[in-house]
Amino acid sequence: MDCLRVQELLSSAHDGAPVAADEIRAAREHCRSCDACSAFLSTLELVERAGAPAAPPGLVTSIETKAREHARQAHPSIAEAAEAVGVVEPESAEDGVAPPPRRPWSRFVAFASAAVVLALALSLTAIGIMNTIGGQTADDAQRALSSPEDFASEGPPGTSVPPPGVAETDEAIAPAPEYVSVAGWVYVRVSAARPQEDALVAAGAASRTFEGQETTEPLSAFALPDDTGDLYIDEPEAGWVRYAPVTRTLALEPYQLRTGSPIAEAGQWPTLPVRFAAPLSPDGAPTFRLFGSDDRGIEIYVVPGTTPAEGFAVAPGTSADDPAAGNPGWTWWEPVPGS
Amino acid sequence: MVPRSTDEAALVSAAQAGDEDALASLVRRHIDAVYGHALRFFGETGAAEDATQEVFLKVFRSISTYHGQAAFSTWLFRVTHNVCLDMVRRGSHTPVPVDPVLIDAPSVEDFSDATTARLAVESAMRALAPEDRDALDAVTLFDLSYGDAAELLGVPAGTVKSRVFRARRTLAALLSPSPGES
Repeated sequence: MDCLRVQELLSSAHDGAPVAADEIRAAREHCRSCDACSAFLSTLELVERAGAPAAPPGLVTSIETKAREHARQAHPSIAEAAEAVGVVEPESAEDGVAPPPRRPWSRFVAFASAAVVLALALSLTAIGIMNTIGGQTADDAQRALSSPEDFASEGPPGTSVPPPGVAETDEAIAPAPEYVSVAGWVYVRVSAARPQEDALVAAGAASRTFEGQETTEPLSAFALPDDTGDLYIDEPEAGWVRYAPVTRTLALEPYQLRTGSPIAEAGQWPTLPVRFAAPLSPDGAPTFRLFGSDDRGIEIYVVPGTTPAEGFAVAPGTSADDPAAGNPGWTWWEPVPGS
Repeated sequence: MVPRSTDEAALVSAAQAGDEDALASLVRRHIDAVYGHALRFFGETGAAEDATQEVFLKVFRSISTYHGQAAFSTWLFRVTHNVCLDMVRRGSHTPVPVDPVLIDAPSVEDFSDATTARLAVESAMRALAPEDRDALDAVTLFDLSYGDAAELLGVPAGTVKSRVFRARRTLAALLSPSPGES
């Protein structure tokens, strides 16, 4: 066995690549009598032992702190979430001892549970079940799910509004999430928020009116100069509410959902920009052509002759966990400015 | 070296659900690899720190869209590598010049002290061709397989294997005592 082959085997084996046991045994045997190969083996071990250059402790602390801040901002407390859906938690237990702080998992489960109860109740209302259900009226059924005051201030999040260019079918189109658009960029409601008001900067006019809004004058959306891309809107009834950009990633770069028609009311779906004719076939033709897949594996389509850097389209029918889920029409995504 | 851990997926899931301890753990677990790659890429600590910060900001923003098709370290290497390249494109930093002639060979051969060993290895790393160094980092710092590294670097797996081997031969030549020396 020559030295080059020995060292190749040692290198491959060191990286966990499959190497025959008798070959690696022979290579190590060779190293005992060969200074060059022995030195190569020592170098492998030396580099392994040296490891990566350690990040400075100050940098580690700084990034860890940012990680925790990000986790808190991205997942607000259950109290904020409950406030956003009109569910109020008791301040303390009956014995006067405050409940222990919840871990994020339990906060998530609690919020999800509240959302499921709310969705069930709204569904029952929306589909017009006004007759008896197993001897109960719809009102009774709703009461059985929760106390009436839990939903006293909450109407349905919006009616189903088929977007322009999308033919109505017998199949019901679910209302969109609570979107708002600002300058054509689409954001989705996250939760009640308490932004640092003196740090807010104006980001544009919100496209739609909100619960309790008495004028048609558009409300302003604001941003914090923290580069998260979130917007804050001071809604008449809910107070400050945080809206997050609706994004997907391609090659790890974020692309945000655009809409041709401003989101005029809650429940309305974003539409393709008006410069695009609705595709006539599932493969996007003649408006778009298949380009590839985004980071989630969802097929993306581009305008013929362009690249995704200029924006791309996604066909309807994506899975329930996709940012375009439920939209009955094609969606259009553009690079997030400044990302 | 980024450890391949069976609890990594659970840690990522917890981080995606908002567990700040899990997100901080991911930072601690991977920050040396990210910083190490950036330091070898730029050759100076300020740029490496900037790159590391930018990498983790991107990770925080994108972690909700990470769905585990690839190992987390594979995803992280791609982010790290792209951030370094983007910083060069933006002109904010320049990559370390590669000129083996200017590289000082380690002055000692006793690497039993960890700090000495690390300094010697990092000094020798500067003699590597960028493509060899990137392949070596992908495989050793981020623990990628040849196949995963090949996909990210856009070359065949055999080429990754060759580049890693070439890098090690160069390091061995620089770090080993010359013939005749004790």
